[in-house]
Amino acid sequence: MMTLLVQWFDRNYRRVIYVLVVLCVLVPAFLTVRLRIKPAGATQGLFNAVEGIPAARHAAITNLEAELAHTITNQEKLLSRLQRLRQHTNGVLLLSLDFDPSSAPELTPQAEIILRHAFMRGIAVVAVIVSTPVGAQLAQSIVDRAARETQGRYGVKLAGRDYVYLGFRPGYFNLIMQMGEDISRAFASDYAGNRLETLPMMQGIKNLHDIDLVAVITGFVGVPEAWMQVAKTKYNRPLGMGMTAVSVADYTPYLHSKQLVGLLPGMRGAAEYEMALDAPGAGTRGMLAQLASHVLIIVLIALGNVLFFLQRRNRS
Amino acid sequence: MRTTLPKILCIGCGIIMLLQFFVPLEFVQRDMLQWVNDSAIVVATFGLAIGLASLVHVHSARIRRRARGWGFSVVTLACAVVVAVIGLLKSDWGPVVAHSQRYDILPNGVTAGVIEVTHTLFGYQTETAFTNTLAAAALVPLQQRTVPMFDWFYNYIMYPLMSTVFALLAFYMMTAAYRAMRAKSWEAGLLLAAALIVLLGQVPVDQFVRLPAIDGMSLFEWLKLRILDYPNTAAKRSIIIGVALGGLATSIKILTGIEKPYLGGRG
Repeated sequence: MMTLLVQWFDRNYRRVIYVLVVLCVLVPAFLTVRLRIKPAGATQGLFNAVEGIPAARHAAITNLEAELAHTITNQEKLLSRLQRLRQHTNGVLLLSLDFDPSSAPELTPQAEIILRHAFMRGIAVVAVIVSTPVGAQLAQSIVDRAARETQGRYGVKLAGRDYVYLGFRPGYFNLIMQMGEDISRAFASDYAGNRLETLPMMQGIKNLHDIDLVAVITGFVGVPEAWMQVAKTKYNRPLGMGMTAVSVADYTPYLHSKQLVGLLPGMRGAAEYEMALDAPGAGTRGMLAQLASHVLIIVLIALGNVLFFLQRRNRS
Repeated sequence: MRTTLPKILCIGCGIIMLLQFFVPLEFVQRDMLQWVNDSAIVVATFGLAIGLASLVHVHSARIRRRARGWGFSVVTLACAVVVAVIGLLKSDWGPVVAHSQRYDILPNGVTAGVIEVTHTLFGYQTETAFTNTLAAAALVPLQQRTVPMFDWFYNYIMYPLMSTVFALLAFYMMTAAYRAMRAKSWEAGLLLAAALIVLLGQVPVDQFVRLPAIDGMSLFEWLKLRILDYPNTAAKRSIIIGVALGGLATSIKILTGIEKPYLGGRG
């Protein structure tokens, strides 16, 4: 009987596994199990960095005022910068949404919760995509949706006033370098075609120096390195990242070297962030399907190994 | 001249990029960098045009030769043309699928105005006609919502296709896990154990199974972080440093003109 079952499974394992995968993904979508997920240190780091943007902006304004009082050279330049900083007293977040539809299910919840967090705290958001034109519309829909969903409780969020979506331009390394000096030279207009100098929000943002935190959500290799080399190393901006779970192992060393303030690992990272903000969303909902899929993969690995050892013992 | 000019351009641009990381002069930091960046973005934009030209060249050649699977080349070229045309057309154009009218009634029962709604394939547009100025003030017109055609194609064709293709990976991975991830040796067993711990640590399995907690984390989560933090970080650091040293050596060779990959190794 057992031998027959094993032989049947060996012939039909693909069909069985495919059905199980479908069930593991579909069934949790209809369940309302509230999972308790404690934010890990890497997630908490990025959460704290976003939470701390208004405080960081106030500190920057205070420091610049003190510097202005004690400096007689460069007064004009410092005053101009102070005026820009005062335009956004809650600070500015630059969010790079570098992914396309293939990694969207894992990364969209991360982008959404960071945007919601920023909008809740009144932080101005500059969103951009530097790596692929394929993700440009996706990024726009994420930003617009987050703004729409947050506005009910936290005031109306308007494009051009509370957030700006710049869209895509090719040549990401040079593009980021150019943003470091002058964002309006890298992007003459936003994604809708409005000139940046006509947008009220951009009056207070000239370059990366006016950004309090850079957050990069990406599924591409090479993009995180470019942001680290330019935004962190050259312009010394705090940098946090969210990435697909499979890429996290590659970038953990940068977390330990303090080049990253935080790192969100895949859907789990989004769920942890949602828990930290106490605002469960797509990440938390997706964790049940992920849990079921992980358990299935472990069962399959175990089953494969048991059959492998049984076959080896029979042969010997 | 065919090899000298590219060499001068490459070495010059390389040195400019290098200088702005080490020379804090405003001329170097701003003007020189702007010039290189502007040029690089223009070159990258032309790269897209060259990519399109290459796509047309390769696929038209396949169609001419009736190469195996040439029908897919026809589909590829047709899609490229359709998407390009859609991108160039007026964004709110679309075939009209329905007209509808909506009346708004003021609290006193008087009809305040009529809103004409034209539904197109890509969204809807509204025109509001008011009966009087008082009514106009009381009436809140529908928010205009016109979806650009390009976005419509992206949202309903491109997005589902890309997501579907990527989602198929899950099925292949599951069958591969059953067939390939086997502890055939001691090293393979070690790798498998690490993979299982990371898989279990990535999900909140402790909510369904009672597990010991360490440092406020479930056992598997704690073990996953230890694996990521120590052996993984050690291995990744050595790889990163190795790659960085290799990159540095190659960059020096390119900057000094010893290596010329941009000339196909010639010159």
